Amino acid sequence: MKRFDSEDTIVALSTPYGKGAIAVVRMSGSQSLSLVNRLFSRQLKKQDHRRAVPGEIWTASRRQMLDECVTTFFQGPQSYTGEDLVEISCHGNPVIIDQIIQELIQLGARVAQPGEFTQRAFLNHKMDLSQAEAVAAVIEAKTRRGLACSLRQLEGGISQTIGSIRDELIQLASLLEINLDFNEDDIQVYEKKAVETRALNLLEQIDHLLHTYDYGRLYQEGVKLLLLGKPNVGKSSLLNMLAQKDRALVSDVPGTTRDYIEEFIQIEGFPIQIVDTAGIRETLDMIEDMGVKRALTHIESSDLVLAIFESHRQLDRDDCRFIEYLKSNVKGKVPFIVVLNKQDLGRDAGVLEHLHGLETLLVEVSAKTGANLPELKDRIKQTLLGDSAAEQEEIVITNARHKEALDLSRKALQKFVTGIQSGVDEVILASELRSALDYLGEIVGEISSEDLLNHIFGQFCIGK
Amino acid sequence: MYREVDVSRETQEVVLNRAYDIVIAGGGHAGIEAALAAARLGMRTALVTLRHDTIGKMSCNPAIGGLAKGHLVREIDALGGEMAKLTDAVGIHFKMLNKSKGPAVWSPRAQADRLAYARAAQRVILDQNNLKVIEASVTGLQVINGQVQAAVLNGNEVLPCRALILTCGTFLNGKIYIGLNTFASGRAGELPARGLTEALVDLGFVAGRLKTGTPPRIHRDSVDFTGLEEQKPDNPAVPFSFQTKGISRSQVSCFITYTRPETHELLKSGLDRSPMYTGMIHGTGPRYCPSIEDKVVRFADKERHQLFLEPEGINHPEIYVNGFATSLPEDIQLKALRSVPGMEKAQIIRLGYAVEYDFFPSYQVQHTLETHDIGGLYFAGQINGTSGYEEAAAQGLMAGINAALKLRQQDPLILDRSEAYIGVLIDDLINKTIMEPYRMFTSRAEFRLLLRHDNADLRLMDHGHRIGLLPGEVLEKMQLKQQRINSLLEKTAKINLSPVQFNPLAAEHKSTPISQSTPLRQLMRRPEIPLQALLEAGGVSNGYHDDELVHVEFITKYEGYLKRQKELVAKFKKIEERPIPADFDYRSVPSLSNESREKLLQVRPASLGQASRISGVRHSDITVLMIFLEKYARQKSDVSRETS
Repeated sequence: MKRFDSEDTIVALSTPYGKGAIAVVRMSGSQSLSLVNRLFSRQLKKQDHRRAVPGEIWTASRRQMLDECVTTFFQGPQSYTGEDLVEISCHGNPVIIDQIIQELIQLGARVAQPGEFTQRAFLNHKMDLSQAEAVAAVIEAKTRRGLACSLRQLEGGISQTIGSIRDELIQLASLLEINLDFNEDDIQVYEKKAVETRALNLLEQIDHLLHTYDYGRLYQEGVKLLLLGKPNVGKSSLLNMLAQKDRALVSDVPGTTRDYIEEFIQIEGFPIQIVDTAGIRETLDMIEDMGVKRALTHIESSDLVLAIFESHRQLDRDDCRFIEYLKSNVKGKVPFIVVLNKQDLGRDAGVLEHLHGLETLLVEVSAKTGANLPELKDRIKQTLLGDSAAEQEEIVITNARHKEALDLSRKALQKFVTGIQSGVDEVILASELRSALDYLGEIVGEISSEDLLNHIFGQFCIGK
Repeated sequence: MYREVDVSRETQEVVLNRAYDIVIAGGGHAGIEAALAAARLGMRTALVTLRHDTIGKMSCNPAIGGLAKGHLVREIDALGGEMAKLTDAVGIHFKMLNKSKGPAVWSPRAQADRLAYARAAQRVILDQNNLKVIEASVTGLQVINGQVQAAVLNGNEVLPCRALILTCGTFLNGKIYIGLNTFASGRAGELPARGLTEALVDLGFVAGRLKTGTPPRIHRDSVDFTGLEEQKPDNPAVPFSFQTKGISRSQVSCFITYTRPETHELLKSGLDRSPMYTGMIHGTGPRYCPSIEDKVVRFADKERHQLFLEPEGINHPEIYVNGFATSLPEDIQLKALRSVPGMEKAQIIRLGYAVEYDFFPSYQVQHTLETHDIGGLYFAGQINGTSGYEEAAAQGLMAGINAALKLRQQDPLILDRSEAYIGVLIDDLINKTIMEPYRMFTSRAEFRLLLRHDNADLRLMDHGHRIGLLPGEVLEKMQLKQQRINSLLEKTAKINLSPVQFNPLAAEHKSTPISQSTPLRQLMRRPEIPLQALLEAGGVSNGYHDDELVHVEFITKYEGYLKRQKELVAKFKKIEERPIPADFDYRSVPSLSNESREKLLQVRPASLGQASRISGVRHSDITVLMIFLEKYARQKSDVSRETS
C-alpha cells in the first residue's frame, strides 16, 4: 500500500501544555529520523524501531545540552501516522519543550496543525472512521475511565460488537431478499415466527448497547451532582471535602452561598460537576430570586441530588417543608441520596425515622472530620451506575454519533418487528432491515447489495 | 434473404459498395433492440448475423421476464423497445410473480412459444425501414484516430459505418462442453465467432472468460404429467406492453417436479467426467444459476431440488427442464433425469451443455455503452458480462439509442439509478467488478419502492417520446393515466366515510370499526382493506384500471416509505452531482490505496457518487478523494485568479 508521504515533517507537543513530570514531543514525516539525530546524543537507526533510547538532546550547534530525555523511533508504516515518527520524552518544562521544538523547526520541520497527526494517520489508512473519532475522544477524555472506554473503541471493540449485530441483520435481510429475488413460487422460504424472534433478540442486544451510552456518556461528559439543603447544614463544607479543596466560601452565616458554585471532582473515575445552590429556604419561600430559579433548573438537569440534613438536631419546620419539597419535586424525577451531615456532633433518633419515610439511600457523614466520606462516594457511584455497572471488558457507547445511528437502526428494526406482526408487505419489511443495516453501516462501514447477494449465494441453494 | 454483395473469396480486402450509419453485430435480443432503435431513429442500419433464421432465438429457457427481469421488459417497452410486444404476441403462459410480497416487487413473467418468438422477431426486423440484414460474421473492425470506420466481415470484407454495436452473445470463441467432449460452438449446433476478440485485444481491450449452462430438453410425450404439480397461468393474463390490449394465444400450464436422493447419487457418479469438476472449464459461471451437479455437491444436505418443466411451444414438443442445467456426460444426464418422478421414460431431444465464451469487462464502456477508448464502438449484452435476454435487450436498446443520438449530435440518454432498473444495470456493469455473469435482482435497486413494473410508463415514456421511439398516442395514454391517478388521489383526499358506510366493510375484512366519519385517505392506510372495496363504499364511481388502483393504493399506504426513498434519492443525486474532472490525475493522490487507484483509473468515474460505487474502492479512499478534489478545485481557482 502506498503511503501518504507528504514533503514536510511535522512536529508538536503531544502532551498538555504546562508543567509536568514528562512531556512528549512528537515528530512525523520522512525527515523525522535524520532531524532527531542532528540533536540527539546517540545516533538512532532503523533497527531502533520501537525502542526507547535514553540520551541527551543538544542544540544543533552542539554548544548546549537542552535536556536529558528518552527518544523512541517508529518506522512507518508501523507508526501512529503511518509515516516515520519520533517521540521525544523530555521533562515537562515549557522552556525546554519550546527550545526542542524550535531547534527542530530550524532544521526544517514545521509545527503541526491541530489534528494533523490524526489526519495523516487517517490518510494512510491507519484508522477507520470510528477509530478516527475515537482518537479525538482519547484526546478529550478527562478521566481514566473515559480513557479506557475510548481506548477499547480504538482497538476496534465497537466495530466488533456492532459487526456481530450487523452479521445477524445480514442473515435476516438475506432471508427476505431471497424470498423477493429468488422465490418465484410464493412458497414461504422462512418461518416468520423464527425471524421475528431473531429480530427481537437483536433489538435486545441493541438496547443493551444503547443502555451503556447512559453511563458511557457519564464517563465521557461527566455527572452533574446537585447539593440541596437548608442554609448552613454544611453543603459547602461537604463540597470542599468531596473536592478536597478550599473552594466554596465557608461561613457560619446562613445563606452565605448566594449564587451557585460549580466544582469538578473525580469520584471512582467519574468526572463529577458538583453544583452547590442557594439554600433551600429561599426555594421553600418561593422567593423569586435568581439563585432559586437556577436551583430549580439545576434539579431537572442534574444526574444526582444530594439532599443534606443535620443529624444532631431535631427536624424543624423548614426541614419538614424540605422533605415535602423532595417528595414533590425530586423523588421520581432525579435519583437522590439523603446525606446526614454533622454526624460527629451526635444523632437524633427522630430525624432518622422521619427521613426513612423518603425511601431512599441515607448516608451519615461528617464533612468536618471526613468520617464516612468514602462510603458516600461509593454510594454516589452505585446510584449513578445502577445495576448496569460497566464491566471492565464491556463495550461502552460513548460517542453521540454512534448512539444516534444505533437509535435509528433500532427504530427501523422495531418497525420491522411490528410490521411482521401486522402483516406488512415483505418488500417494505425488507426495506426496514435495509435501513437498519445502513444505519449500522454509518458506524462500521457500508453494506452493499453485493454483500447481501454474496451471503445469499454462499448460504442458500439458489436457482431452479 | 440475400447477401449484400457477392464477395469473391480473395484474401485482399473488398470494400463493400454500401455504407451504413450503424452496424450491429449479432441478432440476439440485444441486437434486435439495437437495430430497431437505430433504424427507427432514422439511421441507415445493418444487422450482421451468421444466419438470418437464428434472429431472436431463445438459446436458454423459453421465458421472458421474471423477478426484476420483468421490470426491465416493462422499461424497454416504455422507452419504445420491442421485447414486450414480441412476448405478448407469442406468450403461452403469463404469470405475475411475487403477488403476495408487495406491488414494488411484483414481476411479470411469460413463457413464450420459442419458435414463434424468433419468427415474430424476424418479421419485425425484416419489415423495418432503414434496416438491412447481412448474413456474415463480423471478424474485425477498422479504427482511425480512435474512431470506428468500418466493420470487417468474414475476414476481408470492409463494411464502412459510423458506429458499430457488438452484441455477440456467447459466440466470441464460444466453446461447448458435454462431459469430457468439447467443441467450438456459439450455441448448440451453431458456429462460434472467431477473430473479433483478437481484433479487440489488439486495439487494447481487456478480455475475460465466462461460462453458462443449459439443461437438457426432453420430449413432451415422454413425460408423465399425472402425478406432477401443475402451475396454471394467470387468468386473465397481464400483458407486458403498455400498448397491448389483450393476449390472444391459448395458454398452457407449467409443471413442477423434484429430484430424489437417487438422482443425486447418479449425478455424483458422473463427477469424474464433469468438465467443471475436472478443471476443463476456466470461465466463471453464475452462482445464482448453478448446474444441478453443483447444487448436489454444494448443498449436499438438501434432499431434493425443484425442477420446473417449461413447454417450449404449443406445437413444439420440447420441454425445458429448468433447474437441471448440466454439463455431465450424456449417459449420466439421461439416467439422472429418468430417476425423477414423471420423467421415468424421458427422451432427451437436446443434451444439456456448458458454454464458455469471451466477454469484455464492462468498465471499458461508458454509461452510453460506447467504449471509453474507441469512438463509435458500443458493447451490449453478454459481451459486457451479463446474462439473460432482458438484460441484453435493455443494453441493446440503450446502445442503439445512444449511437443514434450521438450521430444526430444530440445529448445521450443516460438513465440514473433512481429512474430505472436499466439505469441500475448499466451503472452496476461499469462500476462493479464482474466476476460472474451479471443478472438483475430487485435487491440491486436501492430505490426499489420507486421502480415498480406498473409505473415504468410514468417513469420513462417521456424519454421514449422525446428521443422519438415512442409514438405520441402512447404518450397521451400515459398522460391520461397520470391524470386519472391524480384525480383519484384528489377525490380520496376529500371524501369521508361514515360508520354506516365503513363498518360493514371493517367487519368483513377484520378491521377496527370507526365511530365517526373518517377521511377515506386515512382508511386507505389500513393494509387489510382493498382500495376497490373502499371506493365502492365511498360511492366513488369506479372504472379505474387495475394499474391505477394499484398505484394509488401503493402511494397512499406507503407514503412514509416513499418519502424516505425520495429523500435518499435527493442525497444520492447530491453526491452524484459532484463531478470529477476528466483530467483529474489519480496518481497525484499518493494516499489512495493501489487497488482503489487502479480501479479509478480503469473506470474513470464521472462523479464522486459513481466513484463510491466502484467495487474495490474503499470508503476511506472516497474521503481521501474528497479532500484531494477539494484541493484540486482550490488550485484551479487560484490559477484562474492569477491569469484573469
